[in-house]
Amino acid sequence: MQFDETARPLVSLTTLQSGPTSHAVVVDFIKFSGQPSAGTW
Amino acid sequence: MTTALGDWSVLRVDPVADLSDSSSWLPLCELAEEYARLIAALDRTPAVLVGYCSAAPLALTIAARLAHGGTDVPVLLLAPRFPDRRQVLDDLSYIRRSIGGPAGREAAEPPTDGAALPDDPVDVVRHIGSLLWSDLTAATAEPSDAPATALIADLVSRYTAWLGYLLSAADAAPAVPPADVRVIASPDPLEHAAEGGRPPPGSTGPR
Repeated sequence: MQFDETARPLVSLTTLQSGPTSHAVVVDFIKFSGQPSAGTW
Repeated sequence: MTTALGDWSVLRVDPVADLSDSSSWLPLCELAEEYARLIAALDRTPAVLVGYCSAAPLALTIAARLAHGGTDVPVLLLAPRFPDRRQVLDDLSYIRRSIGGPAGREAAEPPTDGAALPDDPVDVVRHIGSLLWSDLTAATAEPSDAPATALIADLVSRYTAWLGYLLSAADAAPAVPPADVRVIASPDPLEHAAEGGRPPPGSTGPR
């Protein structure tokens, strides 16, 4: 998919774990690591 | 990190995944506004907003947007980093070298001045995408094969999203921090504390 300067990202919140008390929102990313062929972030 | 938060609910904001999925780019303030809108719509106000590493500027900007809307959320920054344009160039150079192939091998060392990038961030992102597409195509044996083309497209989207996020953070005006901001230079002490231990000596420095 090519870069689309007119597109807006469809942002989301992903649930990492559910719990009964307070909740936290963690801002981070699955950062790329290793060689590109691994395809992991 | 989720271990340290025990029985809390934990939600993740992953701007790189979201930008990659749409092959798009937004200034940090607009990206933060999108996430703030989602967080404000939750049934409970978060007890804390955690920003890890280079996500720190986005976490602070989300908190500022939430505060602007009347919702104060404390911020915890773990090993925070505040990218500049030099980091964009450094990471681009690293990625090009890691791709290999003729173009990647010839990738020059990054310029010493981050201002070497075009001023318009949209132009920068478009340029990065084209550059990486060329690199990956040149490094692939049969780039016109459908599976290879799909993989190249996916990698370009992911790399460009990462570098685009760094660029948006680098170009953003500093957010007005919320009243309650705490910083842990290394996330290790948090994990260690969750295990009932004391932070190991010398663990407070950045990784």
